[in-house]
Amino acid sequence: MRWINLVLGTVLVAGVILLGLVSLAWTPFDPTLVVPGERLQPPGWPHILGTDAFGIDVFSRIMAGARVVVQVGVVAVGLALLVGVPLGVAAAMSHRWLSDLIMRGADILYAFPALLLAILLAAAVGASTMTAAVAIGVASVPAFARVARAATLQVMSSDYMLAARAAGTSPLAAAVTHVLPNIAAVIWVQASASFGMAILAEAGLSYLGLATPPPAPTWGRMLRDAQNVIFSNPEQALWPGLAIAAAVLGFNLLGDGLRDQLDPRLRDIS
Amino acid sequence: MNGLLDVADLRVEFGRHRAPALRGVSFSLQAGQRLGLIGESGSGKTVTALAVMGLLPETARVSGSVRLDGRELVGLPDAQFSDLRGVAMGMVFQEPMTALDPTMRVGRQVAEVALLRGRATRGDTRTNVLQLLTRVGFVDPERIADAYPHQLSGGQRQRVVLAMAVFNRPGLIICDEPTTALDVTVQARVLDLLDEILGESGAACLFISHDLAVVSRVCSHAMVMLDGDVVESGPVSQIFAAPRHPYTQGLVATARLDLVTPGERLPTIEDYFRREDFR
Repeated sequence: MRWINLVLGTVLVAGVILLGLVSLAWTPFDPTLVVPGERLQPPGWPHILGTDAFGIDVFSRIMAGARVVVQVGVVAVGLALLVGVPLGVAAAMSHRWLSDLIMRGADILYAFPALLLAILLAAAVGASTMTAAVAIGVASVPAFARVARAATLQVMSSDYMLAARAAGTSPLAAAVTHVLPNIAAVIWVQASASFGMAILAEAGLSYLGLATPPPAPTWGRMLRDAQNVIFSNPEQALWPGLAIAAAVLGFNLLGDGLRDQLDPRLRDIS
Repeated sequence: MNGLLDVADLRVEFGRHRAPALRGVSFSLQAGQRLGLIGESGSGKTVTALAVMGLLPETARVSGSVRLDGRELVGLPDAQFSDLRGVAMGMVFQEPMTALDPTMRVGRQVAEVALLRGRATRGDTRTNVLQLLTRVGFVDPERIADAYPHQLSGGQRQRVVLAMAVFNRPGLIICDEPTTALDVTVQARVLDLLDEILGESGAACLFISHDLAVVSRVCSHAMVMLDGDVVESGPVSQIFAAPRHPYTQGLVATARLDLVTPGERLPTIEDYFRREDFR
């Protein structure tokens, strides 16, 4: 049954990525084109998910929004991975004072929620997709550093690490050959969960107007637009909501599935 | 003393408020000699081995002298220690279940030891690894090399660990209870293999065990440790025939169950030795 996670996750994630990629070249309608005469059309043809309160094709907006989701997820999680994991591994392998310095720094960063960082960044350089992604990424660094440190400490105290040292492996070589493969499974789960959280955070930030500026469509802004007509046309909130839920679920399932495949011990259990 | 390994007054402490792990251990190991290190858990056997390998945690305070081929190892920077490990001295660990990286194929782990020295190419290494795996008794080295550790049995893993320890032909091999985690038949096979490899390479061996029978099988000399002290040392035959220290007498008596009259109570170490009187 294990592979079902992987397959379902892959399908959902691939769907989101595919929508985003296709939207670069083609969308059924212009995702920013306001057509006052076609407001709040029900799903049908040619607007398969209908139109919103501005008369914009909902499906086209969902497609264009997928692009932002992927962009924010990749940048945010990439940043958190590239900064957080080396910090965590270094903290676990270094002398006590350096380790304390790194982890207390992470604690301080932990005290700043992504929202606050996004407001700061938006105020400093103006709100954009990038500022939101960077804010979410920076806010995720401590989580990655902690997970990486805890996992590395466990590896460091293992017999095979001692055996590797006894065979003459230098600490740096040991970190690359033994630590990274052994903490990969935990990091993958953290990354996939963070990807989902980044998508949610981006939706929240663009709902608040702290991410991608208008008129570029995002799922968060679609929710906000739907808020005005929530009682007369609840389906307006349904589509972006479903898209967000599907994307978050997809990344979580993909992460779980990947972990099972990456860890040779788990792979044989299924 | 001018042996391969000369240890003099080796003291190891973990923190000021704890009893020292080693209280001035001295011994000497000649090239090709096999020395057994006997003692119960916590007697300082493993600490001695790790001190020689320079693998004690940072919190340990080490004093005294450990000389390998006349070179002082106590206080040696880790980078220089790294160059000696695996080449001048190798180590076999107690738990074959955990001494191999679970995420790495066995062949690569053995090859790692060779590639580390930067003198082998990958193609050569593969051939060497397969030869070595054959050498430690695998009839299907290809399959073993491509397996992950969890796919092997305990005895198979311990043979892999042994292969890794002897890959670079070190002059000193430290075995820390290499057969304790194995069942008796597998234990006998691994000991035979060790015996063979040691005989062939002429390497010296520091063999740690709590099992007198195992030590007598592998080693010519033995050293009995208790609470961080060496209480007795000498040729194995002498220690077995005429143990001097009461603790050793107790150890020997508990190992010779064939001397017990059926129906009588089995001997315990406490019959010979009371710890309270010791200090």
